[in-house]
Amino acid sequence: MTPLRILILEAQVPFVHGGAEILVRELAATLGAHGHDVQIVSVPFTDHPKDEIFAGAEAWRRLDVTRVGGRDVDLVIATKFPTYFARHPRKVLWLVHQYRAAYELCGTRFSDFSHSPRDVALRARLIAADTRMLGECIGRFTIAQTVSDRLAQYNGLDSEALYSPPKLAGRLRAGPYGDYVLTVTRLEHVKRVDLAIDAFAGERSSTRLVIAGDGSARQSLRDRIEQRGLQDRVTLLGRVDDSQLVELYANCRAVLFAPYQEDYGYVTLEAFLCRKPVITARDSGGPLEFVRDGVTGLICDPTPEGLREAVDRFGSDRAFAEELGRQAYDVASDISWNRVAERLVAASRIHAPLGTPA
Amino acid sequence: MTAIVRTPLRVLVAGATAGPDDGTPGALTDALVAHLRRRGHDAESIGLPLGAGNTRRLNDACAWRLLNLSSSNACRIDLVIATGFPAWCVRHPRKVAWIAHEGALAPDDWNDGGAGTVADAERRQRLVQLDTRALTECSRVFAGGVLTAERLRRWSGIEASLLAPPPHEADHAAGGRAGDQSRVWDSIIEQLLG
Repeated sequence: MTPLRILILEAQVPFVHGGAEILVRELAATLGAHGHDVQIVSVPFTDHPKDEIFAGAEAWRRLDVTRVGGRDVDLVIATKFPTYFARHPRKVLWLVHQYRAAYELCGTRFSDFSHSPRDVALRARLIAADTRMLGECIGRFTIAQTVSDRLAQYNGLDSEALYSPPKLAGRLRAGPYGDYVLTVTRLEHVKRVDLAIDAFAGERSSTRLVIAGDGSARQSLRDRIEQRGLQDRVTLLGRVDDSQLVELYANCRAVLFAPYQEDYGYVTLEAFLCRKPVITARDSGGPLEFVRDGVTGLICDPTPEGLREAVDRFGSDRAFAEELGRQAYDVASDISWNRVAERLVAASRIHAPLGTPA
Repeated sequence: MTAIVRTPLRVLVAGATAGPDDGTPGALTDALVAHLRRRGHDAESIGLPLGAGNTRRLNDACAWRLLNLSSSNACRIDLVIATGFPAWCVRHPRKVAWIAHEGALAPDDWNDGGAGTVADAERRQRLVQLDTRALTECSRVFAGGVLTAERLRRWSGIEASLLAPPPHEADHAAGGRAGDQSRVWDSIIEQLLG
């Protein structure tokens, strides 16, 4: 197999660190281990005011990614909006997500797109431009079936979902099923940590909620905990390091992860690899590709009452949490980076190498 | 020197990256970010690849120009420190340029393919205009040495204040006299933050 010069294209949101960033670095490491010469190209992306969305996309269109450091680039792998606006004859997509506020989040409390003529037109332009740019890709993959479904629904394009394992996969372990439910997430409104906190306002058992992560909603969530007098039941830890996270997973009773239409969600798989069941909601997107109700976790209504019932169930029955956790492990243990890397590279090899006759 | 007590700022350090096989121009950027953090600021670096050739340089500068880094994820970014061409082209209300060495200026070797044509002259003119305008937008422009400051004056007519990078940054990374380096960096950061 000839090693390729590969660029992974990343949209960097300054001062925000999440799953997409980890995913790009893990992919780079895997492709590197397969003998390829890999570099990550990160371009900052900001979306305020909304018109700037197109400026960011235009920046990717202008950058020349066919030659970097004086050498030809054999393959570029686009990830999330607007990286797929880059021009390259061998552009393969591994889609994390489009600009979600204009897609599935539109019309919900998580999007600032309104029904004003300006926003409607902006959204239509964006989806049309996306469809053209995504259509240029010689191979189309996504990080999860939820993302593939969106790509089909909004852009009319088919794709194959390629699951990847979480970064901590090799370090996660099972431990005692302690007295707390764990939430691990960036603290953003779309992650619905507010719902998780509210679930504990009237919860009957002695189970606690521990929240690990940081983000723009941190202060409002802190205020919410105080307003509801939940300081002794709900702990907001902020950002934790990997070692702390491994311990938190190992010792929790279950993991509560109920975002709105999550793309994929490493948290589900991390929980499963620790043999912990996951509480999620019917509209949580990615987690629903793995959680089976009553088998590997509990799927409930996206309401405080729905989540409270699930928390009570695990809180009052440790053996039930253990049983579902055991069953969950097998679901996550087969997912590997090698398959992701091989599929992405294979898609680029369908076409002749640069500079040689087809 | 009496340390100035500052409110922690959210600072982006911006510089072009040419790719790992061309050497890593990010050592100074990385050190600046590390020392900003040591002083309690929330700092991160950003970088875009920088290509060769006149058309590509102009395109690269335009790509930077398209980026509005006033805020990120609904949080204000207080300051952008640009360490090399064409990073100062970003749009931000408070930019500072620190051109530590000549190589961080816009290249003036316009003798590659297409040189001498009208189109090439126009590209060069557009690049000079954009580069000069972007540097003029900076509240302060610093040059790492006299030669860099002179070349900047010839290129765009901009007068830079002198602000030398710490000597032997590489030695420091390998475990040199960290205390001395920190004091030098403290002084540099005070000047960059103004």
